Amino acid sequence: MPSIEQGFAAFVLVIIALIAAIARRAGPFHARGGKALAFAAFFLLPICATVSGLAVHVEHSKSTEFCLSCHIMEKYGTSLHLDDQGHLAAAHFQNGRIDREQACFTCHTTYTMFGDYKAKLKGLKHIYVNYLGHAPAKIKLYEAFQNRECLHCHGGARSFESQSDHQDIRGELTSNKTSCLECHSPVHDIDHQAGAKLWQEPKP
Amino acid sequence: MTPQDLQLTRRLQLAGGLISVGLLVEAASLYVLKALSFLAFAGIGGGLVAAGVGVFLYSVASEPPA
Repeated sequence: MPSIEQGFAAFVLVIIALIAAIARRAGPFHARGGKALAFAAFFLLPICATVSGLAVHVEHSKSTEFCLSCHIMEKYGTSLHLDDQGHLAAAHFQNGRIDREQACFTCHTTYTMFGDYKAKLKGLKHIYVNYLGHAPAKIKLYEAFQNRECLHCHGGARSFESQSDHQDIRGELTSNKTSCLECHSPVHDIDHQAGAKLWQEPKP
Repeated sequence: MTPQDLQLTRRLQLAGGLISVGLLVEAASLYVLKALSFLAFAGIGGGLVAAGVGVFLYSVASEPPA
């Protein structure tokens, strides 16, 4: 089955063929219906293609590979492979608790109505800062990590709800009064990676 | 071919060239899963397509009425 990228490439080739047929000489432009055809080929279809391509890129931006393509994120990528189950991000990544292809996005989006869009707008800002601005020496979250993001998956899960530690403070976890990270840390320990043993992802 | 037709043809060729190259850049950028490819898509591909569409609209708007 052709991929969405191949479909886009085919769409682009059709548009280019149409443009070439019209632009070779102005004759078709003056023919009956020629202006409408030219309007489609030179205006509507290229804009449709660009909007479609943008949608594909936005979908790509969820991928772990995309996030880690910036040099500044390399240590965070390494933290996913630390051979120590005590590290929250590594344990989630290595045990398949999150989709490895979308590891960053799964935990760092906000599970609200417009959370995905906000995450992507922040991503745009990150691209701007990384390539055209000045990235800070130490990366910080915009706000403290919300339990909502953890409970999106863990809330209601038997393994989570049945633990007495969780039952005792369930209300505080829901209201974010007590952070999940108070007990479950470190998350991304990027300062102590030198010489650390790394887990190798098995090849399918 | 009248001089107006020749000028229109040249402008359409310019617009078509810009749009075609822009779309090819956009298509190529989709095969690379990196933040830089998004910049190439939006900055180069999108820019060329926008410029080509602009040239096309100008060539249509500046064409003398039949």
